[in-house]
Amino acid sequence: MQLIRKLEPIWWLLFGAGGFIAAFFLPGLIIGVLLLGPSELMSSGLSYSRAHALASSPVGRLFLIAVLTLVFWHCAHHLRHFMLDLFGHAVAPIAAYGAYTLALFGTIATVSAVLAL
Amino acid sequence: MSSAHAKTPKTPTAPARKPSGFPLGWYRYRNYTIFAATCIPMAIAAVELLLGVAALGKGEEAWTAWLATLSAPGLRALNAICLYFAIYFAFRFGWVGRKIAAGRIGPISKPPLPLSILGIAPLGGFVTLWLIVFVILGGFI
Amino acid sequence: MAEPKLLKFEVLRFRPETDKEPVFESYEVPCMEDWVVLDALNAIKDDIDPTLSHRWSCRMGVCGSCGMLVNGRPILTCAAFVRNYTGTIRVEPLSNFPIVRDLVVDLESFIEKIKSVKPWIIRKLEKDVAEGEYRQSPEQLEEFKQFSMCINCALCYAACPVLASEPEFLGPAAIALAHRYNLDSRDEGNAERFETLNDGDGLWGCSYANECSQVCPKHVDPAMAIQQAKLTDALQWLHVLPKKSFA
Repeated sequence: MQLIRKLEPIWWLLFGAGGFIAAFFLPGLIIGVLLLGPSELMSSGLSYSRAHALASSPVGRLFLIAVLTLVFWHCAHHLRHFMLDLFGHAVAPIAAYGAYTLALFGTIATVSAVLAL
Repeated sequence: MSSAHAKTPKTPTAPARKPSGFPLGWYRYRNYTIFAATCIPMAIAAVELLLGVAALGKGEEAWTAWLATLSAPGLRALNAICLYFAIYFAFRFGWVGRKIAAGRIGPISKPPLPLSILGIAPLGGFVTLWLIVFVILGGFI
Repeated sequence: MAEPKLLKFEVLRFRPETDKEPVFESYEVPCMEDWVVLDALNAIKDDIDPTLSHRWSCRMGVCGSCGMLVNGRPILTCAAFVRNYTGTIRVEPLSNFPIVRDLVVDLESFIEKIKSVKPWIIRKLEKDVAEGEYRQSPEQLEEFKQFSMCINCALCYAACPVLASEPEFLGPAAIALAHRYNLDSRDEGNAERFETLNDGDGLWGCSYANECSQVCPKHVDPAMAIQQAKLTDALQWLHVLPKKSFA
């Protein structure tokens, strides 16, 4: 827990950066990909060839890594504080280690998925 | 501290009482709890997008299959909920951003013009970017 | 002259010599139309139950003594007009503080936290009086003036949900006060306050519930001060910014 507390500014900066990225990009991505992805409207835009070309371009790779990892770190920090609000300070260590470990997995998974494009 | 103060015995106190209406009883605490809980739908959306990226890397069949799973009504409903909370989060988070930008941070006493525009018009800033993302994804221009 | 109206009050009592735990007691108080809850408490003490203990002083919202929970919400009782409430009015001592007696809470922790951020002008070298005053422009004053308006009423501490689960958290008033001094152009003590602020129970305990700013009677907006302090502190921790006042 001491290690976590020593690095508090880092967790918060990741939370802040992830929050801005999420606020700017997540709703657009949810509408465009998750909700309307299978629809006729997006069928040419999100065809495999185009989607793969967009995602595997250098800008695309950077965008995907930045957005997904920062959103994961943002959600982790927020989840940690959410757990503290709900369950009190007794859960502080498990909330912190658990949340940031999940974010770490997310980061590794994102980077490997993007590299595999 | 005077020695008289130090020597006066303290009477037993009753334990501190919790604020009334937390976490869900009172509307402002409830809104704060919902804001905190938005991390979960947002993380779900991010994981779904991650699975999409993974499918994209596996090939055309995986990508088509993934898009097909997205059209299931259950996932549609889930993603609609994720969208709602992502937008709720965006506006409340923009409010924090405006608070931070309102004062001095180190040598910058006023936020630079582009940032302050985003701060003044979250509707303009956020919605514009969502539309840009949507237009790029759809290849509409 | 208007007739006083009989209003019902439920007041939390706690007498350490006889009570095992706090208990509500009901009073019917004849109240004038323009009374505040503090007037009613004083009427209870004067005319109905002289054993009631409560803090108050200026009765006009500048001393910060009379903060209590009225119908669950932290408010200065000298600013809580009885005509704004319907039905029984419930009065309790501030939340998040141990109760000494009735409506009086133990503010020791609050005072210690305020002291811990060194809320005074710190300079490496004091100017000789003969050299004149420290000059400060109106623009420099504006940078921190809002945060200097705190009357130490502790309503923000009563409202903060973080303090409910973590009593060691520095709290809104202390952090806002530290930020007020860090922003003061005359101050050189940013580095001295850094360690206290840059702690898991300092700045980083705050989760931006914003309740502190909502209840503040002086519009200090401690939540805003804390978020600005977080960014400044984080940049200082990364050594992107030096630990000094730029005002």
